[in-house]
Amino acid sequence: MEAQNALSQEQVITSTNFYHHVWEKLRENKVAIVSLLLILLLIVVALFAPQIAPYDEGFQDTAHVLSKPTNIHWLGTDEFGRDIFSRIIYGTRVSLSVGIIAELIAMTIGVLMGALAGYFGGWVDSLISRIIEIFGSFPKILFAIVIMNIIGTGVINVFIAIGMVGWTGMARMIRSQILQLKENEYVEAAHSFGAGNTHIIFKHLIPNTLSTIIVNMTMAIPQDIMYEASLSFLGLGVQPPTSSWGQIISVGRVYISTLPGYVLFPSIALVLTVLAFNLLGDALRDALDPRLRRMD
Amino acid sequence: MKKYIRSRLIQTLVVLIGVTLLTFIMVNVAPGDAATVMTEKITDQAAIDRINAQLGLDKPYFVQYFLFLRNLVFFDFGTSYFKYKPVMQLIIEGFRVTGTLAVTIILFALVVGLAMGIMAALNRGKFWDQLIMGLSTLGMALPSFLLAILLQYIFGLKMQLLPLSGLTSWQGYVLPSVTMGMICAAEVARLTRTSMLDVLGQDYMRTATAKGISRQRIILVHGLKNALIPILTFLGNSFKAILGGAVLVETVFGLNGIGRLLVDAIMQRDTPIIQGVTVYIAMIFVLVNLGIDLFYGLIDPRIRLAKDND
Repeated sequence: MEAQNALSQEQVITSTNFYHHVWEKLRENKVAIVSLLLILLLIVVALFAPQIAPYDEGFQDTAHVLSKPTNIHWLGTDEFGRDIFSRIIYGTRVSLSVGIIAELIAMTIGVLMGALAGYFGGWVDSLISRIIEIFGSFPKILFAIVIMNIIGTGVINVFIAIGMVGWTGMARMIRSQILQLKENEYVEAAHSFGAGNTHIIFKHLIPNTLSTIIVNMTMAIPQDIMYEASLSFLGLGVQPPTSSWGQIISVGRVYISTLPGYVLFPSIALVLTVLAFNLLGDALRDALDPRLRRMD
Repeated sequence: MKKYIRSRLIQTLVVLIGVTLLTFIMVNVAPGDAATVMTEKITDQAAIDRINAQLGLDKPYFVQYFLFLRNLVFFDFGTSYFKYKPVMQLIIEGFRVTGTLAVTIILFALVVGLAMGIMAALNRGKFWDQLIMGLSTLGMALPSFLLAILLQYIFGLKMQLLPLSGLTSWQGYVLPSVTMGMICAAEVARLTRTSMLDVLGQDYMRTATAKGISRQRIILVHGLKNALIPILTFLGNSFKAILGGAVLVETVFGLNGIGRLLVDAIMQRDTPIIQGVTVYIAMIFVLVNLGIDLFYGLIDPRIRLAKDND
C-alpha cells in the first residue's frame, strides 16, 4: 500500500514536471502567448456579453436603420436597426461555445471509440474501424447539413451536428496510440494485479493519451468554429434573433457597397478567433510533442 | 500486393454498404414526408396516401431500402419533387460544375502552392519566407465564403472584370476557383516548404551539388520529386474537401454545383435529391480513399507487406 502511494506520488510529480515544462516552452513563444491572451479576452467577452454590449442583441433602434458607424452605434446598425457591435459581442458566445461544446462531444465519442478499438482489437476493432470509415466518407460540411436537416436548426443542434461529424479523426489517433500503449509492461502488471478492462482503459491508457487529446482538440476547435459560421452563413445553423458571425456576414453581404462594415467587422472577429486558436494549437503541439514539430 | 488489394476491396465493399445504410437512415428519419410537404394545403388523407403509394413510401423500411439500393445501382432516383426534372440529370449537372471547379482549384493550388513553397524554402528565414508563411497562416484561418465575398466585391462589383455570379461563360469559374484555390495553396505551400527543406538537407543533395549539377535542376528534379508524395496525399484529401466545401463558394457565386443542389433540396425537403446527392458523394469519397490507399501500397512496400502479413 505504501509502495503504491509512493508510486502515485512520484507519478504526480513527474506529470506536473511535464506540464510545467510544456508551459515553460509555451511561454517562450510570443505568438502563442498573444493568441492565448486573445482567446482569454474572447472568453471574457462571451461571459460578460450583456454587460459589455451597449445594446441587447435583439434591440431594434428603428430611428437608425442601416446606419454607418456613429457615436451611438460604434459599428453601425443592420436592416432592423440592431447594433452591429452588440451583435458581434453576442456572436462570440455562439462561436466559442460551438468550439468548446461540439469539440467535447466529438472528443468523448472519438476517445471512447478509439480506445475500445485499440484495446480490444479483433472484431471490435474491425467493426469500429469500419464505422469510422463510414462516418468519414461524408464531406464534413455536407454531413453536418444533412444532420441539421434531421434535428432542425438552432444553437444546441449545431453543437450536436458538428460534434457528430468531427469525432473520426480523434478516434483514429487514439486507436493507433492505444494499440502501442497496451503493449507496455504496466498494462501487463495491472492485468496481473487483477485490474479489469474498464480500469485499465480509463485509469492507465486514456490518461496517457492526454497530450494527443489536447493537441487534437485545440486543432479541431477553430475548424468547428468555421463549420458553425459556414452552416449559419448557409442559413442552416443558428437562427435570428440569436447572433452568429456567419449569419451576420450572410445578411450583411447584401449591403457590402453601402455599408461595408456590416460584413467587415464580423469577418475580422471570425478570422482573428480562428487564427488565435490555430496558432495556439501549433504552439501546443510543438510543446507537447516534439516529434510532430514543423521545420522552421 | 494482391492480398493487400483484395482485403482493401472487401473493406471498401463493407464501407459502401454501410454508407448506403447510413444515408437511407438519415434521409428517412428526417421529419416531414414528401406528401405532407407537397400537399401542404391539402388535408385530404386519401390524396396524401395516394402520393405516398406512388413514391413507395407506404412500404416497410427494408423494402424501401432495397428500392433505394436498386435506384442507386441503376442510376435512377426518379423525378425531383419540385424541380420536375429527373434527379439523375440534376445530379450529373451538379457534379459537372463542382467537378470542373475541383480540377481548376487543384491546378491553381498546385501551381501557386508549389511556387510559393519552393520560394519560401530557398529564402528560409528571410523576408519572402516570412511573407509567404504569414500569408499561408492567414489563408488557413480564412473561411472560403469570406474570401469569396471579398473577391466578388473587388473583381466583380468594383472593377467589373469578372462576372458577379452565374455560369454563362467559362469566366464564371474564375473567381470561385481562385477563392478556393488560394486557400488550398496555403496548405500546399506549407507542405512544399517543409519537404523541400527536408530534402535540401539530405546528403545526396550535397552529392548532386558536388557533381556540378545546376541548382535549378537539383531543386526541380530531386527536391520536388521528394516533396511530391505528401502533396499528392494532401491533394487527394483536398479533392474530397472541395466536393463538400464548394457549397459555400457555390452559394456566394450562384453556381448550380452539387453542394448547392443538396442545400436547396434540404430547404425544400426534396428527398430523392437528398438521397441521391448524399450517397453518390459518399461513394466518390470511398473510392478516392481506396485510390489513395492503393497508390500508397504501390509506392510504399511497408504498407502492403504489413497488410499481407495480417
